[in-house]
This record gives sequence, structure tokens and C-alpha cells, in this order.
Amino acid sequence: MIDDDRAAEIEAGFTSFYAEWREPLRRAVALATGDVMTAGEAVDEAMTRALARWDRIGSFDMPAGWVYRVALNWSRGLFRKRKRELLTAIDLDGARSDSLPDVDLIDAVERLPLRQRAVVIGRFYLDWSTAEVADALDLAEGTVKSRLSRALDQLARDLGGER
Amino acid sequence: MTGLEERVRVGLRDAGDRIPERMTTSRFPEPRGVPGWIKATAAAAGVLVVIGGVGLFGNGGGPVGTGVARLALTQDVPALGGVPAVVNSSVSTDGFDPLPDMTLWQWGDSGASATWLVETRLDADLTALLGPSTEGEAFHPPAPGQVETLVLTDVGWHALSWQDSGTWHVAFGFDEAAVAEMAERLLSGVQLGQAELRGERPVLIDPRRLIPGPPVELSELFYSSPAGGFSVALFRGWPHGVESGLARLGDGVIRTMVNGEEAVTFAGEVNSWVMWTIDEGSTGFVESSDLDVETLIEVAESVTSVPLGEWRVLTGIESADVSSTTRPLGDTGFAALGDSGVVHLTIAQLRDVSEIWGSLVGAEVTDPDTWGRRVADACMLGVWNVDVAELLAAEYVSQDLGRVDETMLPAATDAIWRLAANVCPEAFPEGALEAGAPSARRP
Repeated sequence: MIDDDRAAEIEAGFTSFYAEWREPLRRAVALATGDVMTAGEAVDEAMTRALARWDRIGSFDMPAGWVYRVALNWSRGLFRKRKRELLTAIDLDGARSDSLPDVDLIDAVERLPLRQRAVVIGRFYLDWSTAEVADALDLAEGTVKSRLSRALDQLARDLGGER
Repeated sequence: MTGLEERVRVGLRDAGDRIPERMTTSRFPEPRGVPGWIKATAAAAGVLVVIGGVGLFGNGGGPVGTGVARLALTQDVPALGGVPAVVNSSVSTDGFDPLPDMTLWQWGDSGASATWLVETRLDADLTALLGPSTEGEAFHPPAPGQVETLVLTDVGWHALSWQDSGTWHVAFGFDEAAVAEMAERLLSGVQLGQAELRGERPVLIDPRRLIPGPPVELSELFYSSPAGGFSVALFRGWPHGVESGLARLGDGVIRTMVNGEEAVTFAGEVNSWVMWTIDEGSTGFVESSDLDVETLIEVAESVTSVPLGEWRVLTGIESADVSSTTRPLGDTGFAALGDSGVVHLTIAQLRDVSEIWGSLVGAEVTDPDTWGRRVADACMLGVWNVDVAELLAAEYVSQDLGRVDETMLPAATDAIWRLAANVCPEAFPEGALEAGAPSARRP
């Protein structure tokens, strides 16, 4: 049994984690899946499961990685269920900005397979190291590096430039 | 960092910044909090059954939870496609704390004919909300502060919601500009997108994405109010084939066991049936290809010796997304809801998972909801990861046996892996199934 003090400590720990990571992870999942609407759901579903086990998850080196992975799993399941393409275009018109988005880049990223895209988002949007991305996605670091390399090769080809 | 990598980094961050801020103000923990969003589901004129709550519900300070609300309209809703109309309503909740002040419901299909219903505490002037963009002939705005239900029909794609000091507001329109105009008027001229409404920025959303799952073709739904812990539902027009299944209506929830192997075989001319559940414990059915509804109800009553009470025919749900109403209520957990919150096991699958667990762990657990949640978690959390499998195994052993028996954990870990491998093999990453159960991978 978890006593009251421990329960309060766990809740405080999760609350802090949630405040720090919910929004970045939602955006990361939105970028990875291309679905802004369900990204929030995915992260909340994952957060909820993290909360239920926070005494363990909270002690992980990278609980945010765990949540990222679970949210992507949830999204995959959802999309499988919906029998729809995993990737839909991010509605860049839905937000307001003074500058123009790098549409070519976003299109190119969206064309990557999800497993490469998830790595790219972890590395370049969440700014995790390859080791951290590997931890988050439950992959070997070598796998992350190779996926990252292939993704960058593909992006370079699509964007007509060089790495 | 190469030039390309820098471009990817900058581009992604820019794209991330452009993603609208989250739609809700839900925070954690927040007792009696508000849902992140509502997953609206099927309904028909007269009764609306919904499952709500995507985000984090505060649940009285207890476990994060979700719930189901049943909204029973006390008068008929005008035919879809008409002008907005106000109807009186009563709202009841099942299984969770009272609804927040604002709730959004949708029924009909997710296309242009979608119908929306807003239940909110009207601190705002709905005249301004609707404005001249609606005909308004059947609309009589209630006084501010009054809880009312507003039915908007035939609205377009765009919706806006925001929270203001605990009160939710919502605006709909045929296009984004119209919605923005409504909102800006409601916000006393504040430019949408630049406003900081007490810390919350209004966000435009696309209601099309609120509807999960493919539609299930039902031509009619007959419903009888629960009586004495007894509920009955009668469907007609359920499609034959792989999506056929057993449905029951209990506690305001339509439950479906897709492809339930021991359920009715919906073949031949069978196109109507009654099914019921008593205290969530047992399910029965009467099927017929030629009996009328009244007779079927009579048969059900004679079989069960429970008067079913008044029933009514609900129509107009041809494209209702019944699949999204099939998530059972959980007793405590958020896992009771959500697209992957519960896996609906067939009878055979339930038997298999119970037997696997029983033989490996020694605990007899046969509750379908329990296994539905566990398998859903195993599939979603990634039980192919040994750490996750061990974590879940310890959790479930503790729940079932009241203690964590370390000697049992390896078997339980393998059991969890096998359960998921049986039910959701498609969720496993490439090579994970072939790698085998955790015990096969331990050094």
C-alpha cells in the first residue's frame, strides 16, 4: 500500500511532469502523426497510463520518452482502427503566424514512414539525443541512427539539396 | 549539425508552434474538472447516448476517470437540416461526476449534415452567438446564467470553444470566418487568435475529427428505459457479416462484442432482435425475422419476468457511429474509455486469456471489462518491451492475488505478452513477435 505522503509525492511528481511535458509531447505527436486533433488525446491517454503507474514510470530515466512511445502506440491503434492513412496534413492554416511555414520540408517529413518520422521528431523537435530517442522508442541506438540517416537521405532527395 | 538538419529542426519547430494550443483548459489534477473534449457518439431524435471525455477528468480527487452521460431530450428535435431550435432537456450521468458546465454533442454523420447540441451554462448571450447567420425563427435565447440546451442543426465544419472563469462557450459556423466573427462578437470585439482570454487562447477546431471510427449502418434503434436494473435494446438493420455482433444497452451504454463467437449468428433473414442485460451480469436475446417490435418486447418480458416499461422507436441513425458507443464504463479508471481504452474481446478470446492467466498465475479472472482494459493496456503500452510487460504483470498479479509474488512474475510477464500477442499481433513492431515472450529473451 502506498501511504498518503507517498501518494502526495507521486501526484506532485506527476503534476510537475505533466505541466512540463504535456504540450511539447502533444505537438511532437501531432507532428509525427500529422493529426493535431488526436495528438492531444494520444498524449492524454498515455499520460493517464503513466499516472496510474507513476511510482514506477516516474523513476524512469526518460518518462517523457515512455509517454511519447505510448502515445504513438495509441495513435497507431487508432489509425488502424479507423482504417485511414496515418498521415494527414497538418492544418497549417489553422494557426496564425507572421511568417510562412517551410511547407516543402513539412511535406517531405510527412512522406517519411512513421517509424522514421517518429525518430526525426524525437531528435529534431524534442531535441533528444539519439540515445534518448532510442530509449523513448525502445529501439537500439544503432537502429535510431540508421533510421535517422535514411530519413535525412530521403529528405535531402525530396528537398533537392544535400545533407 | 548540417544545413539540412538545421532546416529540419527549424522547420519542425515552426510547424510545432503553428499547431493550435490545446483546446481545453483541463489541468491536472483538477477535482471535478472538465473533460479535455467530448467524444460524441450516436444518437437519434429523442435520446442521445454519448461517451465523453478524452482528456483528463478530475474525478473527485480520485483516479482519473471518464464516464458516460445520457442526455434525454424531453421533446422531439426538429428534423435535421432545419433552423436551430431550443429544446428542454434533462441530463443524467452514469458512472462519473456531474457534467461540466459545457458539453458538446453531435449526432448524425460526420458530414455536412452533422447536428450539434450544446449544453452550457449560458453566461453569454446566445443571440450574439448565433447572430444573423442563422434564421433564428425557432430560437429563443435564454437568460444569461441559465442552464439550457441548444440544438443547432445543419451547421458546418467549424467550431470554437473556450472557457471563461469556469464557463464553457462554444460557437459554430459554416466556415471559419463565420465562427470567428461570432466569437469575436461574443468576446466584445477581441480579435480571435490574438486574444488572451484569461490565460486561454480560443482555438478553432475541426469538428469532423471528433467522430471516431467508421459508421455502422443501423436503420433503427428501439430503446426501452431501464427497469429494475434491467435494460433492453433492440436494433434492426445491423449489418450481417464480420461486423455483426452482440449489443446491449446497460447503464446508458451500448455495448458491443464484435464478432462475438457465442453470440447470435446474424444470418439469413434475421434482422431484428432484442437483447438485454441484468445487473451487468448476463446477457440474453430474442431474435426474429418476422416478429414486430411489440411482440419481441413481450417475448423479452416473458423470458425475463421484468417489465421493460415504456419504449420508443428511435430513428434517423442510419449513419450513427455506434462503434464509438461501445466502450464500457469502467468502475475506476480512465482506461474504460477511449479508442483503445478497452479491447472488446470475443467470448473465445476472453476464455483464452482467462485460461492463460489462470494456468500461469493461478488467479481466476473472467470479467470481460477487466481483461478488455488489461489487453488494451498491454497492446498500447507496448508489452513487447520487457520492462513494460514486467510492470503490467506485477500490477495485475497484485490486483488479483492481493500481493506481488516475485516467483510468479516471470510466468505472469509471459502471460501478459501472450495475451497481447493473441489479441493485437498487429500492434507489435516488426520482429517483436518473432522474438518471442520475455522469458525467451532473457539471458
